[in-house]
Amino acid sequence: MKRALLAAVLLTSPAAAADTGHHHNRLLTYTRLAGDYARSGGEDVLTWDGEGWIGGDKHKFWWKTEGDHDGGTTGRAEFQALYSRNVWTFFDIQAGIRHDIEPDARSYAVIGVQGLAPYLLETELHAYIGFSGDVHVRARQAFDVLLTNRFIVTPGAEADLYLTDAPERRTASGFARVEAGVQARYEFSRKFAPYVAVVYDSKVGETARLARAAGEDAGGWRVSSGLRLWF
Amino acid sequence: MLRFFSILALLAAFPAQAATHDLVIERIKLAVEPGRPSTVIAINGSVPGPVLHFTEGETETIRVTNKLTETTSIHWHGLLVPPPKDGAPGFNAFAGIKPGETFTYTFPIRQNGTYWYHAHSATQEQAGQYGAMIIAPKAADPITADRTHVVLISELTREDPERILRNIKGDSDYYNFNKRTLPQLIRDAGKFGLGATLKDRAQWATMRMDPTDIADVSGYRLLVNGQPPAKAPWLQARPGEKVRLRLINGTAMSLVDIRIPGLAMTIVAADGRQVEPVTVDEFRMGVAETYDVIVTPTDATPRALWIETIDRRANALVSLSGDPGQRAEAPAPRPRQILLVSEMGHDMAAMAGAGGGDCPPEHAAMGHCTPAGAAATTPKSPATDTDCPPEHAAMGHCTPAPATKSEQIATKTAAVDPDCPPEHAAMGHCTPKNPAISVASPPKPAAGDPACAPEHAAMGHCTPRVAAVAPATADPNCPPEHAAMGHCTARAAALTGSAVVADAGATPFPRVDYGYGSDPMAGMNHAAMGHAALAAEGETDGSGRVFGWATGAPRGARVLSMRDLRAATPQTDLREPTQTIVIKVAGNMQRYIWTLNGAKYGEAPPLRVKFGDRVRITFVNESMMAHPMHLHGMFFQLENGQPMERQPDKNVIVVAPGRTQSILLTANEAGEWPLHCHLLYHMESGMMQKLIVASVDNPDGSAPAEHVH
Repeated sequence: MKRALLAAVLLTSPAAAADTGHHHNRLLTYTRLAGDYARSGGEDVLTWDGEGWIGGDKHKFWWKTEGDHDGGTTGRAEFQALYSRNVWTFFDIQAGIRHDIEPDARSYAVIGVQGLAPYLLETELHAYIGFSGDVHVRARQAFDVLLTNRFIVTPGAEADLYLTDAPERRTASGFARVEAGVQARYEFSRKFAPYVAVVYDSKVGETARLARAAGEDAGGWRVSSGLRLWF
Repeated sequence: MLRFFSILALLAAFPAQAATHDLVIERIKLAVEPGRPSTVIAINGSVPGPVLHFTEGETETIRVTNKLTETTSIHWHGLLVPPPKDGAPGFNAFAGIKPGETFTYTFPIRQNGTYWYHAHSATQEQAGQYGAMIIAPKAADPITADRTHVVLISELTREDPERILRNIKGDSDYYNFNKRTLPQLIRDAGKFGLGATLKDRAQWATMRMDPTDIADVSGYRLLVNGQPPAKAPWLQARPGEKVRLRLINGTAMSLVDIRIPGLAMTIVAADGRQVEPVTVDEFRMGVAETYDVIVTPTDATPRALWIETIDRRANALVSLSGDPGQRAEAPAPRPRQILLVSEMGHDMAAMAGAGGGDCPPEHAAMGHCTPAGAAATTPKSPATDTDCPPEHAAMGHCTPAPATKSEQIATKTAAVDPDCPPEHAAMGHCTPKNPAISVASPPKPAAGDPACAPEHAAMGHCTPRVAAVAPATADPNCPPEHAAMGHCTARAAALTGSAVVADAGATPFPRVDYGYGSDPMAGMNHAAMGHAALAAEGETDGSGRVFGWATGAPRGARVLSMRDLRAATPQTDLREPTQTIVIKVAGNMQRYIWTLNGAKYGEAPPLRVKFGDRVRITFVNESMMAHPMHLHGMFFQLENGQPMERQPDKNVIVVAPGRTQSILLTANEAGEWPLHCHLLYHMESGMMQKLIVASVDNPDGSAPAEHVH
């Protein structure tokens, strides 16, 4: 129902100017995919991060996916479908649905903001309200440092803050996961950029203790290499 | 014999009827660059289309056949035409030319000079749909020359223009590979000091703008009359000959700097209209401008007509010589400009007139002020940020509540005292003057306009009439605010000459003075005033950069200033304007949304001007990009500091970053006229408005029904 509503919003706004020769509300698309590979703790680790949108200046449909495949098992696999509305010059408000396949299948209602903060910080802040009762907040920030116009180093961080316990996921309230690192990419073009990254990706605090107690790896450092593509 | 005479008599009976021209628009594969065919939109099989030669006083008929699969159009740039023949779809009931259709344009020619024609639908223009249009005067041409060449400058792109738009909408920096880097920061820190350098970087980063963003799109080849650099274009110019170059900037996105090293150029016409001759070494040409230039080679040395885009990513070398075997050497490219923070937004005088414009978003973002009535004036604008965006609030930087009383007072002070904006006053740099003694400035709301109180103006309910003092009479080299500070003594404007701006206290390097009287801070030491400014405007530091909005011309070079343009024939309408329309030219570079008064095309009701009225339009550029603003259907006069009877007619005016420029318009062509930025992707991203010139109101006195799409 919600998606149908979103689709309706997206479809009604762009068509308005079609007959004038000036298409100020073109329906545009953006697609970015990044995937990388690392050898960590004797296992192959694959991670992916993809996002894209369809829409105009004001209304967009965003999709996002991220996850990892670690030593033969998929640790995380998340998919989001969001309606995004440009509300402030540099920021959008987003709302929609997230569905996880791993570590277990569950869904969340999502609300948050995404945009460019002062000092050119790419910023995302979303709250996830689980239909199974767990609530957490995720913040993402990244910043480009140009060594040259094509060789770009990007420090970035992502953190999950749980407001509730999620026992089925062995996750305790408080900071549960932190991913912080530096990615160095070379933009042969904006659309084709191989990269290497040094990332600390780990469960933290009580959640890390719970993972270890269950005999799981809580995470840690990895050095990965990958490719970023744009369509 | 009798038959011959009768035919002659028949012809004589219709002296105004000229030939019929046929233009066929078709998408074809064409090797504009030798060996590299690309898909173009050709007119009669070529890019550019044929040069159309018209004669003043005749009636021209042009049949345009659309062989594309989409709707198209041809607009006659700069031509005074009946509204339905203007060729901009969505205006004057013209719906474009459908696929397979032939549209007949018929209009009497009421002018002469150098013009061009191009598509006015989507991004078709950049695919190749343009051509030169040369109109001969009825009588002998007052501009005499031994030889005339059309120099139509355009871009060849190997990307689909729609793809280009998608790229910059996805990432506005997509084509900018001139950004400042970390090593450059270290070099600058060594040169200007770490503190000043970090402050400069911090100011840009806070505004989320980029000083290197001077051209949105690159990757072009510059074409001259359709010839790429690989074909080494050549134009004949024998020693001693007076050669007239009819230069047309037919690019979609490229402002260009033009010079002929070793040969002075005398500008004799601008946008098709004759001007008093101005001799220059170089000039900057906005998109869609035309200039007629006279050059006289003194010897047999081949000369280089050197055309380079302002981002220096593309150039064209045209050899001017006696025979095609003689080719000129390319000169060294000029440095690339890097904009100064001071370019942006410190022009309180100019902004005071715009609704909420005394507090542009970038100032608000810096905490300098609180926009007054921003929500009321531009409710639909994503560009008009409020003082406390949620991201700030979320970080505890501010509280999204009505402004405090002290802030309101500060804002009001800024509105009445342009010389002393509150952020300066707060730093103790100056004391705000009593509004009663502050100098008159073009867009400033006149304190005494009873019909439009400031609080109403702020809400966008009305536009205050301007103060009686005409800004045009001020000395451009010594604006009143400088004179008031004792920096200079106002003198009468120079009658002729070059554009060397070397007034006392200012940079010794030539500046490109687009934006007359707009920058009260020009030539001041910004660093001393607390603004981060790594260098003075126009300075080069030997690293391939020139600071500010400048060409990087060497000391003493004569660079054309808009102030130098004087109409060759006196203007006839010398009425003072009865109305000022302030247009904030702004955008959101990050999202690639471009707006006029905060609205994309179609989001705001059209501008209305009564037929016959004399109006002033003041463009306030709140962005870091130059915008060549173009009005269809009419010439306007440029308020460039010349006396009103000598203000030049133009149809395009470049409003430089952060500057303000006023034009005067006699609304004597009824119709719906596009007013837009001629940067193609800015127009396509919303930077267009409809200006309606009409003489009738509804019987009840209300404005006629408007068409907003």
